[in-house]
Amino acid sequence: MHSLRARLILAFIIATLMPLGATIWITTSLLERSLGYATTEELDRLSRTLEGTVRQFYQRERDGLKREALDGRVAATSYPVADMNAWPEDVRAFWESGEPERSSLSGPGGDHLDFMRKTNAGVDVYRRDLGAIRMQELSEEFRRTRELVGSLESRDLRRGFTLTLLLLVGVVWLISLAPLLFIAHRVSSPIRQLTAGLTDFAAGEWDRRLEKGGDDEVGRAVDAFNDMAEQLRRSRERLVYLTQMSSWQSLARKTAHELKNSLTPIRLTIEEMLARQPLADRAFMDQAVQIVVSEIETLERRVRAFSEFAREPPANPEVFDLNVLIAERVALLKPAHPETAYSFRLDVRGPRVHAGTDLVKGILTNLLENAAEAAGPGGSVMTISHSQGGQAVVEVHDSGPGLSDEARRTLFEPTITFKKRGMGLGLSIARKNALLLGGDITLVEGVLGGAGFRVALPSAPESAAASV
Amino acid sequence: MSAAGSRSQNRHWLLPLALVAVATAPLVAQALTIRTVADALHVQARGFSFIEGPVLTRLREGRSVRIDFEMTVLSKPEGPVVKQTMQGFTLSFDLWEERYAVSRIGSPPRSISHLRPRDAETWCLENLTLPVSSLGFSRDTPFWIRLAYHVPDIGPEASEAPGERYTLRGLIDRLSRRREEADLAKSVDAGPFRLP
Repeated sequence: MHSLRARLILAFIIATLMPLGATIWITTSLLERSLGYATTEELDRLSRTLEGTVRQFYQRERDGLKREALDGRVAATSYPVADMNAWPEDVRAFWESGEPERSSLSGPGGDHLDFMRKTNAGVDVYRRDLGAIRMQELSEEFRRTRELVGSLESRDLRRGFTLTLLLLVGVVWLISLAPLLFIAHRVSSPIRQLTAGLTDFAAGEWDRRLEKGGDDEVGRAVDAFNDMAEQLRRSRERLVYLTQMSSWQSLARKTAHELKNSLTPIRLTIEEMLARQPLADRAFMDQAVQIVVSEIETLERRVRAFSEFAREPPANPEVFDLNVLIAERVALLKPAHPETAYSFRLDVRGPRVHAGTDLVKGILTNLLENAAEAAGPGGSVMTISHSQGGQAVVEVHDSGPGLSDEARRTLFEPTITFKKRGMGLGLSIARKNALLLGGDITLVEGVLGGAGFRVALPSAPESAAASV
Repeated sequence: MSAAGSRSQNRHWLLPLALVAVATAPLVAQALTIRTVADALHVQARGFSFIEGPVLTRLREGRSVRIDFEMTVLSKPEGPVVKQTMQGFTLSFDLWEERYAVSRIGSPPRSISHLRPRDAETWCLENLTLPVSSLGFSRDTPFWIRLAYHVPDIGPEASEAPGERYTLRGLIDRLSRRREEADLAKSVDAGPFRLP
């Protein structure tokens, strides 16, 4: 009885059984009272009394007729044997019966009494009018009355009515229980689903989402759960990323420090070795020192990149027009990649951003440079801006070859690359800075056939945006 | 010893005799005899009364009663059936004249009225016959007879019409009915007999 469905069913049973029991009790009480007025016994007694009275009347009339017939006080209708073929059926039956005399009813409904007597010549029939008392109809009435009495006596009407009532009420109750079970299941199902979802989510299934049911409270709870789960998933991802970044920054900081400590004495020693070298071997030494110094400078650039990666830049948030910043960054990029075509699809309302301008500049510069490099000469780069869900969004798309699955998977992880330009830390730094600003960078479907990046930044509040 | 006590002692021998008489009464009372009239085998059952009990009650309430008789000729006691005949009768009672009327069901129909109860029973058995020639027995062949009757629907009549079986009225009627025997049946076996 711990489940919601079981509780709903229990509530229905408790709520319905009491009025049901009261209804049955009242009905059976009324029934018992009404059956108390039944007149079966009176009918039984009356019919038997009537039977005895009518029989006495009949027998008195029969004996009287017989006496009068034998005394010759009543005229007879004679049926001679010679006319036997014309005899009525009852006279013929009497003649064949072997009885010397017989009394029987005749006339419509048996309102006449016949006394038949055999004679030497045939049959004499004496008749008496019973004065409109129809004996056969009385017989039929008595039969029906006795049948009714027998029927009533053979039945326990109280039991019959009570059992019928209980049966019908029970059936109706059970029928009404069926939709309740269905409704209870329907009501409790989303709640059970919600509970299961929360349990799974708590157990670490961050991608667990629920199917939305109706538009009621439960449906809204499911929506809230899904939103909450999505936000938690994103927050968790950001937290994990920032934690990883923190570790990587720490590592970069130490590495940069160690490398820096080693590179400075190496450079000084090499320069000292060159100064002390005799002039005869100077040409070779110059060349060797130039190679070593060049490599040291490369390592120093890398060290500076590591230091930059490890640095926590100040945010200094301010409100600015995103479209203006985009135009400025693209204008700065164009001289470095003059053969690339640049296009824009900017929100004319000019999305206002509340963030550190330098950080946003860094993010956009990194994405635009990557896009221009990926697009190459003759390629194109498109920049899109719009507002969505309280955030200002800028997207950078290129017409380059796009990203492999492996690159998509590890895109934002800091790596060490030996390509001519870049250290492999740009995207990591950009995403870290976006996260620190309260936004994020994500990969989206490229609209120019290549890669597409989406930067979400916090929008400026209405009041702040208006004052700019 | 008083005169009363002496009379009491003298009557002690009557008790076992009375018990024997009571124990054998059903056998004696239900003894069957046969007779043949032309090719018809008739059976007479002394004490085989059926106008009694519920049948009598129903008749005295002015209602008619159908009784189905069955006469079976067996080659052995509880043995294989040699021949069997069935005949139905409808009994009614004249409430005022206090006489019975019987009608034989089937073809040809026959009826008789103004009978006393024993006469009505005898008339029924008189009209229950088997052709002797159909038995294929010689005069020395022993055979047994089972006489049975069955009164269908002797219980209370259902008040609902067939169409009302699944109505509220029909339901109340069925649930309120007291348990009573719906049918009444009785049989008696006797033998061996030989054709006269």
